[in-house]
Amino acid sequence: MEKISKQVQMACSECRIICGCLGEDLKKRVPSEFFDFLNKNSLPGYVPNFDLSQPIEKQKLLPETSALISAMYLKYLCDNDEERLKFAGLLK
Amino acid sequence: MAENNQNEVKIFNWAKESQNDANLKQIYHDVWVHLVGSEAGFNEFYNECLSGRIGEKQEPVSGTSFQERLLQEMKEHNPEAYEAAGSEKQFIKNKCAEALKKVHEAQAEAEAKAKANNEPAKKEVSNIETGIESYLGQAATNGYLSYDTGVAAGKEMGDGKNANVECGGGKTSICITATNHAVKNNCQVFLTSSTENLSTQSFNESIASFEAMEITSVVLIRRDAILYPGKEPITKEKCTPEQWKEALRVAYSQKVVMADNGTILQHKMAGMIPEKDADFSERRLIADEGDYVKLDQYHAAEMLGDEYDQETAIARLQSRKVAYELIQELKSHHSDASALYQANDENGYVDYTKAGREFIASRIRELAAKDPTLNAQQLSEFAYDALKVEILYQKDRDYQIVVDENHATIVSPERASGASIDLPQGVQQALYVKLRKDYGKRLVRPQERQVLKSMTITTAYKELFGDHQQLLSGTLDSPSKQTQDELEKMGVTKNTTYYCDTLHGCKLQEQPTRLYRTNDEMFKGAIDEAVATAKPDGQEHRPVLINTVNAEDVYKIRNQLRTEHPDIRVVTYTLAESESFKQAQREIEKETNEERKAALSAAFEKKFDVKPGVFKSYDEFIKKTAGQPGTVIVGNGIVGRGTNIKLLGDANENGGLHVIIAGAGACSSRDDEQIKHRASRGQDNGSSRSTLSLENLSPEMLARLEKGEFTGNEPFDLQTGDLSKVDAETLLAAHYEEVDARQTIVRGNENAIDQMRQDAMKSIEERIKTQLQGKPEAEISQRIVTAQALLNYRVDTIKNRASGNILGSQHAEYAAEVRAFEMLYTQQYISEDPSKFDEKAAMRDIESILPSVMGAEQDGNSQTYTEEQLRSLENLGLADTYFEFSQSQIEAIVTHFQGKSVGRETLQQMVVDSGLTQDATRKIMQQLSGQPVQEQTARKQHQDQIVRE
Repeated sequence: MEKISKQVQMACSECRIICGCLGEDLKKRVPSEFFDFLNKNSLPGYVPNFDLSQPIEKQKLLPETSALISAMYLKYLCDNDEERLKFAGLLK
Repeated sequence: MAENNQNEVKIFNWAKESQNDANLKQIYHDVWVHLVGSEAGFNEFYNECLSGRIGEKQEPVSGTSFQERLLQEMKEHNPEAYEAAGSEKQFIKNKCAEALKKVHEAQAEAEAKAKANNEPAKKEVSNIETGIESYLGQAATNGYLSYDTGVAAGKEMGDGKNANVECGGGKTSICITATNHAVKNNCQVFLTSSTENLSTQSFNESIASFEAMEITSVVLIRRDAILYPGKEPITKEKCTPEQWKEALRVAYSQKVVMADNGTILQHKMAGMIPEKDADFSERRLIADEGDYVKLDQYHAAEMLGDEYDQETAIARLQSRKVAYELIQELKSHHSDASALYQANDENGYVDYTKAGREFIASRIRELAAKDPTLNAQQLSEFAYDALKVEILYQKDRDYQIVVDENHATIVSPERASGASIDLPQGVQQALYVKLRKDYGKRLVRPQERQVLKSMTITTAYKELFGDHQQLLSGTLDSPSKQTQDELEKMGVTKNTTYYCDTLHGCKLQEQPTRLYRTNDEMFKGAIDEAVATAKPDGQEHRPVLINTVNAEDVYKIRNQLRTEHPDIRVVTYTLAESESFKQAQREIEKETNEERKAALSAAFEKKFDVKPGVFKSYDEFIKKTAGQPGTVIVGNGIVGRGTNIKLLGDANENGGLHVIIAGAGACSSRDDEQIKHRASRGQDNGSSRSTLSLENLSPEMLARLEKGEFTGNEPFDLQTGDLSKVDAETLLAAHYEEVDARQTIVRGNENAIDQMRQDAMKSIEERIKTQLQGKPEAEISQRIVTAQALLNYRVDTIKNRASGNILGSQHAEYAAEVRAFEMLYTQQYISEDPSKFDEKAAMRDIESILPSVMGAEQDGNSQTYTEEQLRSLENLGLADTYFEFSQSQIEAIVTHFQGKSVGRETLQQMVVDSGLTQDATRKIMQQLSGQPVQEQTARKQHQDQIVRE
């Protein structure tokens, strides 16, 4: 694989935190390779600038993080194509 | 003022909402009864005037004000006391003193009673006390200050809230009441303003009130002078360093300290502000123009040491020129700039790519081989400065040029608006080299000094006041959502802020926004509108203020006005004009030769249209003379805050001041709000209009316009499209959101980084104290000071190398480097015998080790550490601790959120809130998987088709 950009490495760090908070039912559906990918590619020394006084859904994420989440959602968490299309429709 | 909000507490319905004794009607009533001696006349006055203000109707009321009517009644009921006092002021003073005595006696009695019943005694200052004292203070300024807003908002602030008061709503009055309230509750109050001018103005306006309230321990501290009321100023130049330090110590121990933010910051950095005196229960900040504290003066101020000697200064400048040329070479080295450097303007971030870094390094090596005296490390840092100003710094947004006839000076936008914080030294120098060819010899070379330390106002105030910070401003409810969110994050919310309308409501009439294609057309439009408003049919009618962000454009407009409309009186207001006024007056004062003095005076009069010595400052000159009908004032950001242009002649009857903003959204939405509210101060009439040109818009905004976002989905041709079809208001709102969003991001980074530095220093301090336990205190504190100096020096070097004043996504590297310094310093040096400790050697060590440890040679595209770097970390025994640091931080965040059980809906919401597009998702995922973007285009189109269907 090509070297990935620093932005994506930072996104992996952020996504790792969000995946750590996934409900058990969802966590089971995401393959461990995906989590390994996040762990392996997180940026060493990067501490996401999360505001701990705010709930997780209110955190300001990097666009790359949102992209990772949406990819994860589309690939592993949707039950069928209909749901995938519905989710894709939520994006601008 | 923003639209009404159910959380807003307004002065007019305050009484209705508060059902206890903190009731405005009750305060009016009690003040009346205490001062008049009976209830007589109150109900009548209440029905006539007050009920409309504080009751259900909330109608603007004209006629007698509370303070006037009260005085009338007091005189009628106490004719003998009035005669005996000899003057109205003395009469009010006597009556208030008498009333306060009664209040205090009643309080003492209540306390004694509570004590007798074993109940806790109430130490709070009562509303009636605040009410009477506010009246006293108000009366002392001859009714200049509004009693109503002062008493209500002042008490709220004194109790710890922020206050948002419309411009012209009597902020000074509120500050006085709030300060009084806090001082009476045994606090020490720092009453601050954004600029020295504003601070001095506030001191002059409030001093009589403070005296009337018997707060005599008031001091105004300006950078090099200390002023106590009615005394000769103490100046730094007349003191020895020890005397000056002692004078500052005494001044900073007064009950009320007035100063501008810049002065406090400089003194804080120099360690001149003593700890809070034990006699005070707390130290509290009341900040006028409070949004400035939170949102504008985030740039770190620099504490400067000695100037470089001439030889060094020339050598450094020469080196900067070479650095600038290197960047020009870099830019032309490759047809695709992104191969050599990456920039993110939104984050204020720029850095070389691996190829770019290699190119610069090899060129520096070549140059060093030819010239052995060349300092390669310095040249590398200068090259980074040059890259930064070349790619990131935009004129007017990030720096401004203050021009007069002979000189052009590079300053920060804040400095151009009168605040003291300027651009970092390195940036100023790099800009000088870049701009020299455009401005020639006119461009003033900034003197370069050694930077000892830098700090942001946010950090300084956090250390000085903790959470005891009350903000007062007219723009705490910014029209931009970005800024509102940011303020909310800082704790400035609807619930912590008291919103207060002016007594009769603001009369500002905002006229529709006008859009032009070019800046020249926009300036012409502004001139035509100004002339038509100021002098319709040749008759002097109203004063007009044209505001534009750029000082050069100010002169352009002025010259055009003078040429095309010689009958119009034009006054310009810029920092350069203000400095030149001050300088010219000083020269005339100092001149002893009468003939020469007369010549200088004549030149002054010709230039400024006023005799020298009539006004102390240009600010005063503008305020008192520019409000004449028919005058056009042209100014930049400096007119924005604290400029009350007094309306003269029939100006108010004719509609008051008319403000035209030529180029709205150049700095921020709040700055424009401030400018607009130069019109309609207090109860005056006034109007404003925003204008902007397509040249002011970013490429992104232009693309949105082209697509039809502001023309009802009709595609718009930027060259020929009909501008009248554009919804200018919506376009301006979107422009504001964009401008404010960038500021929010950059500001957040800067403040976070400053915080990291403070945290690192605290940690080093703790380690020093633990490891040197048992050693003499002087030794320990000496080591702390040394560590602090080394850390600050090191951090500033990193910061300059990273991206200077504007720091973006280099957060992580910065944090890591600060942490590595902390580790290195504490492990390598603290346990050594302090007497053998060689500061310079330690610095050299750190300088040579840190870059290799923390990746000065890092690959531009990938931020993973090289084997060599990791070995360096291991050799130092830092690898584990370093990674443990970042891991533990991340784990702490994970632990914090764990158990929240994020579900599908939350995930969906997060993605939707991020505003992510399908296109962006696709690109990012392709980048991630290493697939070329083009390959998937057909598939993406197919997917889009499915989604559309």
